[in-house]
Amino acid sequence: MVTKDVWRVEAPELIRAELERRLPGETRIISVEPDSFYHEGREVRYVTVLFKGASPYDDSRRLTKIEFDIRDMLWERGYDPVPSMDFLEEGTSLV
Amino acid sequence: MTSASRRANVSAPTPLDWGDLIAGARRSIAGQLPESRADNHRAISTAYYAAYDALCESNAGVLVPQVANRADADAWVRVYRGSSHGHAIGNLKRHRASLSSDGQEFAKALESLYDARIRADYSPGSVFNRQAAEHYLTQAEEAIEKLIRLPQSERVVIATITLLRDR
Repeated sequence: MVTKDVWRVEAPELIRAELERRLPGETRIISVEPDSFYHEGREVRYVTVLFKGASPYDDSRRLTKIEFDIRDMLWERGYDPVPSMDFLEEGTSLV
Repeated sequence: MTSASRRANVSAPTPLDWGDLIAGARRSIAGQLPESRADNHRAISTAYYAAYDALCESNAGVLVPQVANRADADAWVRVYRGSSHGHAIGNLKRHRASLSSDGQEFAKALESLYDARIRADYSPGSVFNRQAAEHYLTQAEEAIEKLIRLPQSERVVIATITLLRDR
């Protein structure tokens, strides 16, 4: 199992590299920030991917495939729990 | 229960329709001005529940295919309510390799939707916009369509994986 401290360093780099390889050139990844919290005794890990330009959500099917492949890659490397990805456009403000 | 009531013609219970759940969530986020984070998060929660309910309904449908009396109806409901979220998702992950490509895609989507739903409901640090909500609704819809198109025999396998404990 990849420990709490290690996943926060390694996973964002792995995720960023894979997203930059697979998302269209118009999508620019600004940052990939790790965070986690506990829910009913289980650690929930996630990264917030701040992007600029074309939204990764524009092609939902392609994004689903990328998400599943990244999750599989992290699982095979021993990340348990596997961190999920939230995508947020730079400057987003919601009420 | 009397013998007459056991014999009475009873139809299968009708849980919420997953298509209605997804359509309702889509309506709630359509045309928001300004965009509502609360509605987006509720829609993501609904996307997960639609997929989980579809799994529960599939399990009940394949294990209790005929509902002719009260005992059958009770059995159907027992199966429908028999799984738990953590067990179903964890066991599907452990046994994923035994499933077809579409079965595996459903398993991956259910886990992805569960994680999104937990973040949407409980993580103050997570912010989902309308596109994110749409994304997870589409992910749920496509996963459910894969599940219900699986052959009956594979849906029985999924029912045993999600309902029973490994020993």
